[in-house]
Amino acid sequence: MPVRLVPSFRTVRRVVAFATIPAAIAITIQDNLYEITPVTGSSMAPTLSPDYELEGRSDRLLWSKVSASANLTRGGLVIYTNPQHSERTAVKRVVALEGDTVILDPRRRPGTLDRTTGREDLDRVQAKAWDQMAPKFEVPFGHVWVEGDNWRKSNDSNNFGPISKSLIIGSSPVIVFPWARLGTKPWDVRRRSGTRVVKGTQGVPPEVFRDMFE
Amino acid sequence: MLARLFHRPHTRLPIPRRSLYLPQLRRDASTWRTRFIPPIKTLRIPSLKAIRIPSIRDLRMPTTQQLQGTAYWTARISRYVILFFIGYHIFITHFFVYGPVYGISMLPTFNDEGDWVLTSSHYRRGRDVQVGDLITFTHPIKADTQSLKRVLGMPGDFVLRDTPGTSGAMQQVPEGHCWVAGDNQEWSRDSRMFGPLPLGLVKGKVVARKAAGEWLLRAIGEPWAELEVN
Repeated sequence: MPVRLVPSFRTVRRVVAFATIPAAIAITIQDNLYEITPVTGSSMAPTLSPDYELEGRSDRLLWSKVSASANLTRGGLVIYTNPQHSERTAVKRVVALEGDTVILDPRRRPGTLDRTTGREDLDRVQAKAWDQMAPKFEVPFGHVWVEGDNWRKSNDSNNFGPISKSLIIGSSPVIVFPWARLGTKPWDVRRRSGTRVVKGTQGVPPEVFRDMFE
Repeated sequence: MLARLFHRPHTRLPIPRRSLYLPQLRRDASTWRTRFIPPIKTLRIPSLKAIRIPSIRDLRMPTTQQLQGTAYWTARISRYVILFFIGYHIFITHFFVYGPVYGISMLPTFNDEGDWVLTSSHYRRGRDVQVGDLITFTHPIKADTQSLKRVLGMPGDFVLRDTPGTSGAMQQVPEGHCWVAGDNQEWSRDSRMFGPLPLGLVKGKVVARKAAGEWLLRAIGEPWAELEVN
């Protein structure tokens, strides 16, 4: 009669440890230190993922997750949890910090482009909110104004308003794919943008929250 | 050769040695052409096993048993510390968090200090969160603090924007957000001050509470059971 092979405890322990410990280390490093994510969508074209619409190729960025929402700069890239869908993240450029006044670009008003994707109702609601923010909008304390480089296809602060700095997961990225651009930061080039920013003062909490910062 | 075939039983055949049969090219004095001439004697080359080529295994870090003294204990303790931290992080973010809470914004549901709560991270980012749940979230204004409040509205609901009795204005909670309020409305800073809370900031839902002065951990069941209504 053939013997039924039962793995020994040591073998089982070794297999379980081999499977779980590297995954746990990877998860911990990803959550706290560095993470590599692909940039899907063409909202940052042509800076990032320029071929996404045609060929589906997305760039991959290495993000620093340590103190992500501290030391933000105007024009830097951030990855943040999508305020409209809490299970997704998005990559955009920080255009204005708290206290700055944003002079909105009329091209970026939601619904200016002809869309037949069934989003007309949403565009109408967002256009109404945009009209209330236009022409000048002061970014409140603890929030930032994010925009995508591709004004035609970007779902950004012009649609959902400024985002809280607590939503920002990572900053200071570096390209790791494609290999031709490894290590570069092509978004550091100063670009002409239709959105103008009047710089203000940062770090002044409103009266209601002042005692939290003392 | 024939002697080998008819060897005597009490003798043993010699152990065949691994020898390399090197052909020796010898120029014949009579002709100008070299010819293959069998060697005069066989050469013995030491086995390749005697030459140790370092392999990939030798490039690994030494095992703990090979270290000496303080290095041994440093390696052992740091390994346990690192694994503990990793396991702690995974447990915190995916399962449960047990910690103290303080503040007067949730009286009388929670005491102002001394209470400990058990939070389930299953409900992070707003998954399965309903109206009436007590949730912990990263503060939208101060990113390094966490707050505990009650959910009054989920996306699409209409909520009172200000304190009851002031303006009476209503607001619809936008997509992906929720409306939170503290039970002690006079001394609570909540969505009336910072607006709808993005669900991406939600860290978990309170499932049990240990009151100050007690040792028993009581599960929190029905959302409105803890709230005293006058």
